[in-house]
Amino acid sequence: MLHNEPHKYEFEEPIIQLKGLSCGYDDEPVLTDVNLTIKRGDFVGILGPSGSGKTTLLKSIMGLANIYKGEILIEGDPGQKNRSSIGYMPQMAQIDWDFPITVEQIVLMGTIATNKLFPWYSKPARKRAYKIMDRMSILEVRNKHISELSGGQKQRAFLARALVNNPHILLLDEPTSGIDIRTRDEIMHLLDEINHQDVTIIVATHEINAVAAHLPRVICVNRAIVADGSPKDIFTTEILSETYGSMVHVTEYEGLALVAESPHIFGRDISKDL
Amino acid sequence: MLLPLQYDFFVRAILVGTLVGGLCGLIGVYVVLRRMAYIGHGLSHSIFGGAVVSYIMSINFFIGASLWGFLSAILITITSKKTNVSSDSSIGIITTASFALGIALISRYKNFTRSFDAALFGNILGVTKEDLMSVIFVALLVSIVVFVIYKYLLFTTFDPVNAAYYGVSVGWVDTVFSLIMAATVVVSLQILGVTMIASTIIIPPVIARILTSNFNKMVIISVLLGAFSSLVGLYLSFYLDISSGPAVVLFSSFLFIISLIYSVVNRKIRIFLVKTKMD
Repeated sequence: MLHNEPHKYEFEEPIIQLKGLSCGYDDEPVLTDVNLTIKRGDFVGILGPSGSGKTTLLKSIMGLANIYKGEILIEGDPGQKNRSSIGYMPQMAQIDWDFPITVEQIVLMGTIATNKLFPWYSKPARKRAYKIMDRMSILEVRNKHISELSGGQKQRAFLARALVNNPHILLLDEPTSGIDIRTRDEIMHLLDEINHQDVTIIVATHEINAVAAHLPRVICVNRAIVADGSPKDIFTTEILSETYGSMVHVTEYEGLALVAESPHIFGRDISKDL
Repeated sequence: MLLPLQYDFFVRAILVGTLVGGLCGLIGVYVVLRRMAYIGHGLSHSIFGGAVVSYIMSINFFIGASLWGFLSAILITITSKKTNVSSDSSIGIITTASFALGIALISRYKNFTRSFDAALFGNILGVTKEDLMSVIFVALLVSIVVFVIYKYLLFTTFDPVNAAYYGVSVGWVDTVFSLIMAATVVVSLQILGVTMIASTIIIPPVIARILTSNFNKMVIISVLLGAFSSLVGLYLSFYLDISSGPAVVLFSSFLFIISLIYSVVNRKIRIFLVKTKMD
């Protein structure tokens, strides 16, 4: 279902705060001096080219990147003590789709920290898994092998794993990468639904027109924060060219700031053959 | 069929072989799904070095060789994670060096009373009561460990990158897995031989994967196939008078070929059915 009305924020308190943060992996800082505040109920896009630090930003919020300087507060809590309040959906390209595993097994994995003592999953964990699978409309396919699912069902299986602990924050890494237009719209509408239930959402994406342009707030990164604001304000030729390190043309279509492709034609001229 | 069972050594060999086959089938599921087939191969060679060192130093074979195998696995993990040497290269270097040490020691100390042919290719003649007890102990231990850490093992095998985020201690799970893998290889040495263990670990789960997409069914099929292949292999070894390791491997390879044919034929039939439906 499409929400024509944007979400009315009832909250003003910050849920994630990054203060003078420099983070990365091993001995290499990927992002430097990041100052960022995300409020409860926000739906934010992190936009940037490959290697710009989008995933690193998400990983630092999750407590999986090295922090060299500065600090991160999650719900006012320094350090990473509050992980269960964050759900994470990885890039679909990371997944081994041939692995012999069912939808239910994947969703249950999300509850693993809640029942550490026993080899099996607890009853409350199973209940939560069934509830979220029902909400994601994948309950009927719970016993199916992951390769038998449609593109949208695959996404929803991992979304269910991310949401099974009822997190306050949902992080997604390139959720629309490599999927068709219909599935992409389906996922974006589903995220909008989730956001309307006061879950703060941060989406790392490289898709400007398809994803970022439709979000209320976008943060452009390229090893540091280049710009932060609504697409209308920050989708300018200057800012996007700086973000991508290459000329980007911006145009407008029905009130949306979009990126126009440069008119190149590649390959052999076949106009005479047609 | 029952004739060889009148010999005590064969009864012991059958018990040890069947247990070892099932054990390799169980561990193999994780080895194959973790794409560690090469480490299985390397580890058995590395353990050979440990076995020779244990023999020379008069340390209990099972303890010495298991420890050696476990340390090799840890060394491989550390080298590939903490340096820019890739994991296949570090396996190649560490396990071959360990194997070379074993061979060097054998050629230096020529007074070996124990047959190392058996260690290389497997031999059903030398299975002692102590071997049987060790295999029963390890089979029980490994089964219990796999059961207890089932969900952690599955998560770190399927999605190691994100398992840590969900609160799974990936390093610990990997370490425990290295330990049970080393123990499995050590108790399999006598029957299967250093050079034959890898395929006994790999073939049953690969066939099981061809037959099912369900993880739990894959484990059951792999364990049963491993045990069955070893059982038949040992009979072949007895009747055809060949080393037990190659007999088991040849029989399971035969099963692998049949399962491949099944999968190809099954696919062709399904395509044919779709075509006839459309006509």
